[in-house]
Amino acid sequence: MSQAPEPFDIVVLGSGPAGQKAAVQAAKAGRSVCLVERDAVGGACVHHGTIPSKTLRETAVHLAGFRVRAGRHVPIEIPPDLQLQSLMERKDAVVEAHVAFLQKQMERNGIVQRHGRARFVTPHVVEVESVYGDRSLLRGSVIVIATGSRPRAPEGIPIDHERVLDSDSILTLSHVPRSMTVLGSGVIACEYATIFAALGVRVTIVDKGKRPLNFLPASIVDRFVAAFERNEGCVFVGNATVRSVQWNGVDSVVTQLDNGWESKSDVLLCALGRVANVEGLGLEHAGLSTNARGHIPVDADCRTSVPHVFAVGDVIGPPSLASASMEQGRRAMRAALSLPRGNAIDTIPAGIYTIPEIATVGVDADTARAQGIECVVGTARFDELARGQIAACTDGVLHLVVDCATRRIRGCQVLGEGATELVHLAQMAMATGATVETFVDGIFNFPTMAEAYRVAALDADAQLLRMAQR
Amino acid sequence: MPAATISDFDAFVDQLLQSGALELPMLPSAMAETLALCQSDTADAARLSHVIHRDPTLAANVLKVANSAAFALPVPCASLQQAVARLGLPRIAETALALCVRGTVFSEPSCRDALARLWRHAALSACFAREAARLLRRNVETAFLCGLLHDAGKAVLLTSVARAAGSRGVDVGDLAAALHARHQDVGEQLAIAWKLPDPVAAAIAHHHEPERAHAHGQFAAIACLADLLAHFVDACDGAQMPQADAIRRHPSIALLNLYPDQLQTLFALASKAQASAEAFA
Repeated sequence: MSQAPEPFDIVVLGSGPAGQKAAVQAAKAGRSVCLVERDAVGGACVHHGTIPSKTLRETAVHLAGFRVRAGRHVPIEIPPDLQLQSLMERKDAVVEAHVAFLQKQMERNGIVQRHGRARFVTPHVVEVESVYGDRSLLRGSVIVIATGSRPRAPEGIPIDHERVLDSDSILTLSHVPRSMTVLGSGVIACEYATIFAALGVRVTIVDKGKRPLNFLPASIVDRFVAAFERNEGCVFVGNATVRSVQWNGVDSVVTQLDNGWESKSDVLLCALGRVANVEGLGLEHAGLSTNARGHIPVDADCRTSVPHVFAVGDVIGPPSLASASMEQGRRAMRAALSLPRGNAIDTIPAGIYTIPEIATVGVDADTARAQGIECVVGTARFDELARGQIAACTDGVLHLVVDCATRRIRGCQVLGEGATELVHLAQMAMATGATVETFVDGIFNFPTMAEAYRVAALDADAQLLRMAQR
Repeated sequence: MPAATISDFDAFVDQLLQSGALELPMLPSAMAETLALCQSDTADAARLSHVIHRDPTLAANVLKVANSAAFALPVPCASLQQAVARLGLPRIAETALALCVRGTVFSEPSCRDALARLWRHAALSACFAREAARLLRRNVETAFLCGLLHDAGKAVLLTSVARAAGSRGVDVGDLAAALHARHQDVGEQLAIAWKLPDPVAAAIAHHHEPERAHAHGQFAAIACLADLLAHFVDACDGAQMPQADAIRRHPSIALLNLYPDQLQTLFALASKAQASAEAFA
């Protein structure tokens, strides 16, 4: 390996949502780009995470929805020998189509692809090792680290990928289990917990926090927990620390908690966070290091402490959402190339694909008040909407956070089916500086879930009026 | 047709396949029930013990395996239920499946030695496949079956030829290349007849060209790699022992995205895999 490094304007490490958008942005700006991927194109998002889990979720949602709407007359039972893969029959087609799209996009934009593991040898040069152990060098004027993350394997949890699984191996289960313990109550934990609950699995979520999804307002989370616990045999156990997890050697995983509680289940999903994929990157050769949480520190433009090196996506820590990662990739490249960035990063929504869905954008009332913003929260309950009743989506709620001084929309939180789509109306309202009147005066189709905005806006408007009258 | 004088083995196999004369062994009922239990959410120790107990030879052999050196139990198991309690449901189910396959596919007395070598290779491949699946986050039980059954077509063909040859016997050495050329086709027939899960059927049919297994390419590639690793540590079925470098550069490595250090992990598991496979001998 004595040849000179192959030069590129931009070298991107990782082809997940963040790396891919960074590469495309740079290529569209006329730069030469090389994208290095250690696994299959698309990264964990396409092959182990977002896309496979959402494909299973789609089936679970339809099964659960059908049961609610017509199950009394046309019962649907999942046969005990049904393979889990049968419920994800479209996964391979979806993944194949997505990968083909990504490949075409790379080719169309003239992005050079290298398959292998990269590590820094100098701040501007990375070595790429192929699966066959061959090595080559790439030189980048700018280098983007987008190597993603993997499930954390906490000490003392015997993850064997057979009975005790992590979020990368949970979908390799051959059949739908009878019962499942889920450790953790973050986004991934709650998504899988509710998907399996909808499939009829008795799910126990265990977490040290009082509530799951602790970054969301309590009013949303309490409704979420209530909806989850309405599934037969499903329970959230909060304020509990795991003392031990053991496969009993015969037929169940035994989870013992510090409060004396014991859970026995067919399988256990350990979803206690993710760790950044930074080992083996040779960050020290680039003059970089990680913070206490193992993430690469960056500024608002995702630039690291080494000016020509950017880090985007899961390697920089929360929010670790595909949508945010894409924007980080795009933004980092625009910063690297001194192009205008805009302020879209302030209004990136968060979509949580639980059943029911949850979505947020902007701030909630508590956060707004902590920032010194006086606000009111307009609320619409889905059981008050004609469409909510028709679609049997009565669990839902929409909160619209309205700034008292400017009457502008500051944030929105939605729980209920369609939440991840519905939230975009609030996002656009925020991006355009719309006031609550936009939704009060706006006429939506009837019956639709979007009507929730008008109901919430009218509620907020009434509160503002009362305040003005005091 | 005396096997020793077969000049056109392909024609012979074609004839067997087309005429329906190929003797595909019946799926043993214990194996069918064990497979169904493994794929259902109702598997429990009592039901599995019940299934195994219905076949006394199987029950005795499961106990023998449970008491073998591979599991290193401090006190020998005297009953099946005790074995299930000590080794766990998955290992006992795996053992029962392996023993059913051995008794059904690898048991023709007229070519006992050759089938014993093939069986040894199957068991070793199964153990390597299991470890590879664990490393690559694939279903461990499915991978075990892929490894176990990948060369079942060879055993079926060999049995058919040996029976056709009768007392004249067969020279397995002469047939090695021909067996290799046709065993995937015959294995595929067996997989269809036994209604094996799709990934297992795909691995049997395409383990020498895993990219043709499409959606199940990963399991076919795992079977392919397990096959290579088993030959590497023990050229027990008479096949040529591959060199470590050839394995490192094999196309299945790229399909699995297995980097040199990960492959080294699998090489390092050789003695564990061998010990597990010995238990099925």
